[in-house]
Amino acid sequence: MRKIKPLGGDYVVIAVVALAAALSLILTLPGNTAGSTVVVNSPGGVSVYDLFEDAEFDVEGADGIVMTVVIKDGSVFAAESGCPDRLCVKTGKISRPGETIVCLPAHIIIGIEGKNEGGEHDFVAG
Amino acid sequence: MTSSRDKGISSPAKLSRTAMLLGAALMLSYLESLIPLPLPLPGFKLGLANIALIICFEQISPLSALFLQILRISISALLFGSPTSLWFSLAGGAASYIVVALFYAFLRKYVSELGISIASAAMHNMGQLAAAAIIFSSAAVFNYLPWLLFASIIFGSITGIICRLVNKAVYEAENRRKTVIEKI
Repeated sequence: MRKIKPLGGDYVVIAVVALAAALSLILTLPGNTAGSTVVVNSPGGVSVYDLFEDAEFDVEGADGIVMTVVIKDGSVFAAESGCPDRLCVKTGKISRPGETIVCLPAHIIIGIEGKNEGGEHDFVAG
Repeated sequence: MTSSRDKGISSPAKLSRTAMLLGAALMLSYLESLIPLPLPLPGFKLGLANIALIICFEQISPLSALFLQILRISISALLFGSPTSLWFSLAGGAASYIVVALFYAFLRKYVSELGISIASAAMHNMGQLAAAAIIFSSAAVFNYLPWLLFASIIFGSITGIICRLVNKAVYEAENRRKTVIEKI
């Protein structure tokens, strides 16, 4: 009869995955520095906006999905989106460098960049 | 320890069991698409269909599991997916199949369905993120990796426990059948 209890290897797997999660968390933690620009990466190309200049615009994504993006008081959020899961809207406001709003169905990523361009985090646009 | 695949189960029996598991996997995929997730994690899924994959590995064979995985992904993309979601599921499905196959080939003695299920969920998420990074041509999606990995531990444990309960029930039923046949 086979065992029902977890085997030793199970704890190893859990430990490895938890360690990987903790490591990647440290590597991707949003910085505490203030962001300055908003980078919108969509199938139509990459566009950059000033984080401290209030704006509202539509971004056209894949499959004809349109997302309404609002920049207000130093933070960005997806106000409306035609995608099915609407996770981009649920993500809420982002304001720190390294934070992102991702819409998988529309192929849109909105990221915040800090004052020092590049190097700061792994945002490879293009 | 002999598993059922070594007991000379005839090919039609294998085929019908695989087909039954495929049906179950498709139902689980559908169920999963009905449950809205409160977490703002793009690409995150409960991974219920993984239950069928691991049961297939345990009770039938790696080859049957490969057919199960390919058919499950293509049929569920046709039925409930979009062209984009097909690529994500293919990348995630391939990654999780490979990791489960490696565990069954080399480490099954040391790791139970629980650990295999967690590893498979983690690799599924990483495969999906890699596909997303290629489609978006941006590494920014990897910001979600830590949360997806933590979620894999929780939901991988749940699916792993379900796998183990099902496998145990099937083995017990087989043992009962064997003793009945011996008595006759």
